[in-house]
Amino acid sequence: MTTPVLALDRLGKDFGGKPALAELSCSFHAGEVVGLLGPNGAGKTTTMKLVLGLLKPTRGSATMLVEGGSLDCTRDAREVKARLGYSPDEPAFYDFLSGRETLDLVRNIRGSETDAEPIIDVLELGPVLDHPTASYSHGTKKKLALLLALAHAPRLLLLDEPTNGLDPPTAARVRRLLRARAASGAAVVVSTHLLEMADILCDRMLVLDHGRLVAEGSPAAVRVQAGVAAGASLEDAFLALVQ
Amino acid sequence: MSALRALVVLLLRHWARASLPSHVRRDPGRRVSAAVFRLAYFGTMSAWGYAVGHLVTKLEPVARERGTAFVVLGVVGLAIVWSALTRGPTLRGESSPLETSFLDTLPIPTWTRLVVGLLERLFVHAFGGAALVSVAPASPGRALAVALTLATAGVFVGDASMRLARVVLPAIALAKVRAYALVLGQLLFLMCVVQAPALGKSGRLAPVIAGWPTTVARALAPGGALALVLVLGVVATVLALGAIELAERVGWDRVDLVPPGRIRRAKRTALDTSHVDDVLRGREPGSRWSTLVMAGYSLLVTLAIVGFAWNARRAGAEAAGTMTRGVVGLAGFGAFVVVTARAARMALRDMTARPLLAPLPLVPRDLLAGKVARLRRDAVLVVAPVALLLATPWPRAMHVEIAWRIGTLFVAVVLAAEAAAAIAFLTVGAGSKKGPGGGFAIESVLVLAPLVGVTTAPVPSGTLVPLVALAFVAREARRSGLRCVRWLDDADDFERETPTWRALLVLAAFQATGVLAERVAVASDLSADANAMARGLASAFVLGGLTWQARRDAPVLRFATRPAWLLAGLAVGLSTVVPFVGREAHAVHAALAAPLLVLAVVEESFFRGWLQPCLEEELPPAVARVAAVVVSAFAFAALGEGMFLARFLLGLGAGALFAKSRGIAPSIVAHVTHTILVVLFGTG
Repeated sequence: MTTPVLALDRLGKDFGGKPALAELSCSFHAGEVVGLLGPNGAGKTTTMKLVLGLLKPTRGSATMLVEGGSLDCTRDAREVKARLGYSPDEPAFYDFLSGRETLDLVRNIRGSETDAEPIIDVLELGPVLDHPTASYSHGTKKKLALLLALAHAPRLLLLDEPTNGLDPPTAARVRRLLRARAASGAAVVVSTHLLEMADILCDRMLVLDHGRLVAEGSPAAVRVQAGVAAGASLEDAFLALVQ
Repeated sequence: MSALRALVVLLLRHWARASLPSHVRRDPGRRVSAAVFRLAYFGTMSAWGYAVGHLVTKLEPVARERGTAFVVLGVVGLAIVWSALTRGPTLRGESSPLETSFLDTLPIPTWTRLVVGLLERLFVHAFGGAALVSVAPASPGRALAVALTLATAGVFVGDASMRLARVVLPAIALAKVRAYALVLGQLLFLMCVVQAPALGKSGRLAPVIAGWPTTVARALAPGGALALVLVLGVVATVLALGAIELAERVGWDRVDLVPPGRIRRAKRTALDTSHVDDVLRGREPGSRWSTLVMAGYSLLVTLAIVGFAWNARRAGAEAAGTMTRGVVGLAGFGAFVVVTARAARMALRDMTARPLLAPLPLVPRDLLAGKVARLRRDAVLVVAPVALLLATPWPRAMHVEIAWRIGTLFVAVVLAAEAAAAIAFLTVGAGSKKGPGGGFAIESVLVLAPLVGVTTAPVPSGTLVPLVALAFVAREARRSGLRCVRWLDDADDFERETPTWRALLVLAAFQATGVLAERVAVASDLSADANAMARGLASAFVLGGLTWQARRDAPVLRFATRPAWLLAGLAVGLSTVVPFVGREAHAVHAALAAPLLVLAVVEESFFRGWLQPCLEEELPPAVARVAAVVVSAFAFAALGEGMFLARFLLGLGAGALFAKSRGIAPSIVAHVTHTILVVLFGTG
């Protein structure tokens, strides 16, 4: 059994009295890539923001497990954020900083000196990294957000739609990069609507619907729980679970 | 028509700050404060225009015509500049609600946006209309027709100029022009209106207003060429609309406000939360030189005074004092403008970069600390030239006054910088989900009012109260800023405002109403008593309404009507005024008793019924009850006009009564008794 990095215990969040996330209990381990799947409003992004400490749980807790103890994601948000990398679905930066300067800013705040050049090469960001970020296309902004999330080699990666907006070759390289990160001991959590990508990339999946966990396990196990044939596509399983 | 209706609703909701986070949107107290501020702004502009025009009518006929022509020139110029300012290429978050890229994607007819754009600049019409009606009291109808025609023409000409400029110039270049040239133009045209009574007296400046401004000024009088002016206004409007149509057909790049290509990499050491604003400021159009321009302005005015002092050594002490107070006030206001505008810009940057900042191991303290340091530096830079006044050949006594004024000004602007950073953080930036654009918020009144108090204090001890008030505002704003626990995302858990800060916001609306009512009363030539009555009633209405709205989450207000408490209230009222009768107390006309008594009840509901319990909750428990009494009594006394000590003692007594009885009836009895005695026995 691999080392758990993050544990959610009956974690829930209401907005205006309505539950966005009912109660979610699960754990994420070093070395695995976990997919958070679900229709719009299922609670995927809310779960990530709860882990980041950007939202205060209405109930339950999220705990990051570190050497010799644990950190509460709400109370110890600063320490938790120092140990994780997050890439938002809609990245935005200081318009008049270049990508390289944004990287410098983030590294200064994190106190990180890790060499980011290999990631820059994989993402093919080099040619535009000295241009102001406001001139970037959506795909380039996603690449920069991934670079910032990965640059300090965090133990936990939370990636919201990481390949959305990327061209197919870059998306394939990003998938390989995430697999490599998992292989080096990080826990990678990916929220996505791209089911084919999830099928290829993820070791385990959590399928959420209306804030509730409706299926959990490997892609094969999710198909079984959805009651579809073993050879059916993940989309068929997904539709069976959420409709 | 549906598009027109939708845009009008959009504009009105923007004015009511409906773009605030859902938590704040549900807060009627805050929305009412914002609406009061919007109305106060509209009313103040009108009252200001009216007051200036009124002064012009007191000039000799020739000077009056010149003065009127300057008002006309200024009003039309301001209409053009203000219109162009809201249509220029701006940085994200700064533009008008009608100039968003989202609206650009919708099939909205150009005329619809133009009509609603006219509504957006209605304050130009209010300002110009009030000014021209007051300079031509014999023919208000003609003046109003001219004002509305010319203001409308000015708005469309400004709009058309900016659109044509956008066709020709790259957005980044135009943004720089907009930032400096238009702001300078705004200052010049504002001077034409505000200084019209003085400019009108100078025959040497006649060439400036020769031509159409003088023609328009003459047309305001009965028998003038009104038809010609109206036709000229309509022709200008039609030409401007034609130019707008032409610019629309040619088209321009609507989103292109970044320098093309590579940018020179900043040093890595300059890229942290303390310094990144400096890097960004050096690159954004219109940001780089703003502080230096204001500091230069302050330096020029100070040097002019120093030069004048050396040339006219016999200038009396009165003139020297007036000049000193003038330049201190100017520098103080300049520092206020710089720090509020820069703080808002900093906050807008953080709001834009929220997804970048959200996952970083930062807390509000990290972001706030760097901003406060930068704003302090800017504020000191703007007021520093005032120290050159010590180089004047004025007598020693005057230098002593200059020294204490400079000293208190420095302390005040440093505190103002701290408060401005926290206020921008709360209202526009990271603490706000979607803040309104622009650099001014109702909260700024809390900074401006004590700052003005410091710069206008007649004696050094007079600066003590506003300085303490400013320090309190800065501290409370900072506390509120640092309480933004989940300051980036969680609109449902928006723990940004301390209850005390909320109470202070209501106080800001109360102060703004008082100033507005006074301006309107002065412009209407009301007597001093009527002025005071209007101000008292308007302030009481606003304070009472907002207290009732905004303290709804606080515990229910009790009255405590036991006779012993009421008698104690009577004793406090008597004892706090008797020692001052015939000495410090101001004479108050009996006719003012009614509004003062209403105000007494309302003030007790606010200071004792709301502010004091808020403070009790938030101050350190060991001293909370006593400190809450003292601080609320201080705030109560600081807001009064004169009689600080008497009001402070009354506040202490009323506060102690509330602390013991937990009801406001005894405090009301004390306050009412105090007021009645002042009315009966006060001496001027």
